[in-house]
Amino acid sequence: MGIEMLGLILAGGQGTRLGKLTKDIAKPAVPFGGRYRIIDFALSNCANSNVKNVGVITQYQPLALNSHIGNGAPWGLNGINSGVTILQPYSSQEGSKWFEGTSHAVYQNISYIDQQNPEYVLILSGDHIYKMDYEAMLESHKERGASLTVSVMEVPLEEASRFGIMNTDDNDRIIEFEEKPKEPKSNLASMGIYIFNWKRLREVLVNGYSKGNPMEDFGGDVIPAYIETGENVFAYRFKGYWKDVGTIDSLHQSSMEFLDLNNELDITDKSWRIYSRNDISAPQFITEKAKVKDALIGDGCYVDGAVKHSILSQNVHVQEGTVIEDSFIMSGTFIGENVVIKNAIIGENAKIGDNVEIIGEDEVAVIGHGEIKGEHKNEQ
Amino acid sequence: MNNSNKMAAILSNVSSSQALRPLTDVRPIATLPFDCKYRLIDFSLSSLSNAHIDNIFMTFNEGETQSVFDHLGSGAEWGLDGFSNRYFVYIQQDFYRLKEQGKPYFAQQINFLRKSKAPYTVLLGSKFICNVDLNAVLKIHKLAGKDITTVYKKVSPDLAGEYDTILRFDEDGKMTNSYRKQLTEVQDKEALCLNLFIVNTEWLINFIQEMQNAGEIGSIAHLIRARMKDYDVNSYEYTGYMSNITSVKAFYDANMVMLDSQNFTSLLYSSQPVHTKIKNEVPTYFSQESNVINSHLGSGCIVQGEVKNSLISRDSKVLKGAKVEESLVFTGGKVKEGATVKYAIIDKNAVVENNISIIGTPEKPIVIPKGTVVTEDIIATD
Repeated sequence: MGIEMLGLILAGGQGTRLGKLTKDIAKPAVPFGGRYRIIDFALSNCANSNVKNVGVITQYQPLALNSHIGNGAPWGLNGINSGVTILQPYSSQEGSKWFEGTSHAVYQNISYIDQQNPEYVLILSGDHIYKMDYEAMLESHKERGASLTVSVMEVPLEEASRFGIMNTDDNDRIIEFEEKPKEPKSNLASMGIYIFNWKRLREVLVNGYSKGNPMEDFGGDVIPAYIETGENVFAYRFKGYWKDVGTIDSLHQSSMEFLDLNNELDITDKSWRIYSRNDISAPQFITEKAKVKDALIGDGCYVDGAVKHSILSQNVHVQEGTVIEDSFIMSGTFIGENVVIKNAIIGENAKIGDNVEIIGEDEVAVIGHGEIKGEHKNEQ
Repeated sequence: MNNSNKMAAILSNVSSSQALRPLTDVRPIATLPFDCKYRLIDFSLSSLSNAHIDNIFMTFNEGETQSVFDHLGSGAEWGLDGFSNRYFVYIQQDFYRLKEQGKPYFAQQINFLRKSKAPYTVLLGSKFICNVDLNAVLKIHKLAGKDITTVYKKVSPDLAGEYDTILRFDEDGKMTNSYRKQLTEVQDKEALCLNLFIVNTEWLINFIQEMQNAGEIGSIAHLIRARMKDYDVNSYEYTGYMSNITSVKAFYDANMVMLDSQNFTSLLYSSQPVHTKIKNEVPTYFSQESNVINSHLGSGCIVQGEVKNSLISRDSKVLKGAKVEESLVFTGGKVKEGATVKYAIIDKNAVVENNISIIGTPEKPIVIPKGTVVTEDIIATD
């Protein structure tokens, strides 16, 4: 007897649009919100939705992601009937199992999924910031006797051509899917969250590949094939905060939105916690000279300068005379004296020397993980 | 595996103090909060974990274990949840009961020591806040070749409680000990015993059996202190940060001195990290109108008012127009709009209602007990 629903998080994106920030780490492992990594949202949603068995499919720069996820304990996914498995491409006798696309990645992991023997599979992206109850989505999937349910949200019509757009009938059954249409007929955008009946999806993938009709992407191949063959494909409407943080601008914007206590994401809601790996660090030390306004400050920070409308992650050190505005500073960063940082993202463990200016004008300024800028006079 | 340097530990948490009430009405001294996110027991457990000690026998008083289990959980934060790692929690009063029934009341301790297969055992309590490198103490212990090594720190004698042990050394280096209140002549600096010992396990087993046969009471640290003069005891001087939690005022001061970055760094940023219970809190939010200076804060707080020279624990709220000065706010504390808190300790989940003032003095900080909702001003008269 298998499990009811297996979660599969597609965490393999190379994330080239995040530039320096994904040079050494996979996109889902990019830090977010002061103490999270992007994938924490999908993982926590799984944990909170009773999806206790999760496979994380990854292929680029997986080290930070693997060490972050570990045995899944921070999300409570390390129990007797639960678990997180990290699925990486590998070489087999039939050749290398590199992933060509989203559904191809699932196809390559069929043996793992068969082992879990789920009734349903829940396909998720590892790079979205949102809170969602997948259990409610599954209920809707079952109620409507769907073969596939696609989670959708309404986007402004003028932006609809950036998304995969679902055209539905009056019962929210999807009758047409258009990937990034020039002239969208509706504003229902796919969020890249799917529930499939596993038996059927397995058939579609295996048949497709055996007949030489590759099924590489869910959006480009699988969903159109489902609609074409007349399967019951339904839209599940999501309302709430949802953000794809795949670019520097969207990561910065989402960080600034995260700062707002009245943000729709409602991160302080104890009934739907976002879990993450916890590092040990001391309390934060705000000194006599510090000026902290409209900011989120993580544990282990030492602040002797001014921080305004910014996020400091854990263990950030800010010296006297320094001003930080409209910026997201990742953990372990050292910032010297009389530094000015505005409209910027500073990567983990970066070192910013005295008197350095990092100012994003039209574009957000980015300093990479571990990057060193300038010199610090008291450098040890 | 070479076990020749292996240590086990007996962590005794049975000391209590009337002078710490009402803070200890709801918890033992061991789980008193410290500097926004720690509990006193974290310092003992972290010293043990930093020395890779993973067999711990803890004793608590009856009725005081709820907050202990809540804090310890699986023990993962201190490396106590591994394959061969174990911690046991025993109740002090059970020893007394066994003794009354004429049973071998130390049998479980002896059994624990034998099973640990550790040639050395650390004995310690948790009312002294310090960060001792036990591997260094073990080296000194082995070099001296004696059965017992005790750790002390030279302090001004007024830092010692009446029943704390003071060590004195004669010209030949021979050590004697007495309670602080027994001293007739007090020196500028006294060697305060930190209730921390490394002993040879074989010797300890014999000693415990001897004590049991003689019908002595069941607190090992107490027995050793009472009998230390009969043995040739080696000593180790600890020079790092130390606080002795003897009273509400001492507890308050021990927290407030953490605002001196030298103390803070010495205790919490030494080569020996201090571990505590992990919580999933969001980072702390400072609003546009907040004004925070010279303070420590845990995560998950919301600060809209003023905070000055204070320590604010995890998940607390200081709402608009509220002022918190020279105070400690424990986890989940709430200082509502327009309220003023000065020289006070707001215990866990206590609420100070809108526009209420709580004003103590540096000598007598006011304690608002756990979960209390304060709806009337409390202002110290002297």
